[in-house]
Amino acid sequence: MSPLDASLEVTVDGDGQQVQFTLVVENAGHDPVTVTFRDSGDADFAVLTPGGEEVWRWSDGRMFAQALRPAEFAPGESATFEAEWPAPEPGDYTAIGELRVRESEVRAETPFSV
Amino acid sequence: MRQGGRSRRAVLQAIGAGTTAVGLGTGLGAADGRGGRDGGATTRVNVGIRPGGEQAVRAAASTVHRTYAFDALTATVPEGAIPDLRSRDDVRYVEVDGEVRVDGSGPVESEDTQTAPYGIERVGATAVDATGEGAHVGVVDTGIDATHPDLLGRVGESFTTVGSWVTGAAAPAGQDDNGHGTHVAGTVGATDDSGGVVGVAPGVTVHAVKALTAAGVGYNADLARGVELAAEQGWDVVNLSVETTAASGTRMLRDACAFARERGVVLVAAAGNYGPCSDCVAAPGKLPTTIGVGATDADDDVAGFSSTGPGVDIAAPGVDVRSTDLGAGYTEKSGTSMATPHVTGAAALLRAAGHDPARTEERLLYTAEDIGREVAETGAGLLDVPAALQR
Repeated sequence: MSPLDASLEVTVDGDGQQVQFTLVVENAGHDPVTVTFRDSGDADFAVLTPGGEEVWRWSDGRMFAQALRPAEFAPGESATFEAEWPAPEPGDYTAIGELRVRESEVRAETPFSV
Repeated sequence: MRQGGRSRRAVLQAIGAGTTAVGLGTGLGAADGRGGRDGGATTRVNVGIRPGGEQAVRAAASTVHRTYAFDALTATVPEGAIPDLRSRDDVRYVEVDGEVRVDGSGPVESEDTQTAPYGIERVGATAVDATGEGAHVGVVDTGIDATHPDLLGRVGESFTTVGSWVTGAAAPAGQDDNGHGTHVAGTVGATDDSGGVVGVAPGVTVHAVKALTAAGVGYNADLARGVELAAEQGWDVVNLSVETTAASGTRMLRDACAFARERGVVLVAAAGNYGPCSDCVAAPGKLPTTIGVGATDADDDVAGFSSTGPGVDIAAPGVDVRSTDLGAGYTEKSGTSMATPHVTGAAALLRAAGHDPARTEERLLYTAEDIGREVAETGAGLLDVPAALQR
């Protein structure tokens, strides 16, 4: 259902020491779109190997306050969410970025290499 | 959850507008710095130890941040030292501590409407004379606004366990800079007076432990320290309206909860907001040492967001719950976070009435009202305060 567009940019710094993920979510439609965040985490990010094994997830080991948070995207409005994979191992991966919302998936994938 | 009528301002608070970065993580947690003793990367870890293990951790660590009474430490160590530590007989576990979101949005507030806290009435708290006076409840959360008119004089001790690894200006001990903890505290024990709202246990003393940042996100180490504090202080009940995304949680969290429970603290924790889903309750709600709480609405329907499966021990109202907010105001919030303090307040009433921790847990569950839902959804049923207090 979600008319929200998601795109995920992955930036690997020069010496491969850090990987930055930037998830941009935009309401490309003409009507406002309401989403409800499940908790105090806005977006989650994960890194998968070519074999599909998850090697890192932003939310692992973190606690989130369990109150819902509704939010509205006006037509044309966008929001940016960022996270960092601090100690990457060299290799080929797929990054996943997704909003932690109750509504249909708002998610993007991007392949990258360290 | 009401969906309509959000102001644009509310959206800006929630998600940051335009291309403004919200900043979910800065990498501060998993890699404190890149200048370890050996010049390699360092990582902050939680280490469980046996006798003799502390020396090994101290020898390997560039910094020891904190030690715990349940035989654990939080330390920054070179990444290369982790395998060696893990292989030692006097080290039980080494867990990398989670990152935390250090910047970002405030909560979205529902619009104020003149709604009574239906949940307090639904669980029968207004039908009993007990106030919980003499009982002590720890709220391990984002802090509590002790100046709120409905909490004035109710807040006892205030602590902050958010560690030095979180950047930014430190809030005064226990001060809420999010609103979540203040909302939870109001449901536990807002004063019974002519204005505002009333809590389940309006005579109880609540204690603030700020273990989550202004963004409402926390590290394992900070939550574990908050639970340990509850045991040290001898509080009767602790409210944990938080959830990890792992079913078993970390060893450290399990140890901290076991430590507090053994010392007589009743632990009440949210089941989580990840529904509709099955067998999806995570720690701390799923732990055997906690009472896990699912959420219902004003019609006794199970909230669609409420996590279900093993770990849900009981249910309480958690949809559009009205309670205290920052700025001397009131707001409605939804979540298993909001259901949890109803049960916490009831536990405080039982403790104040002289029931020991085991008896308190037993009575809460044994007397819960059957609302015709699956055990996986509501556990023993809906919290029933008068029945739990009945002699």
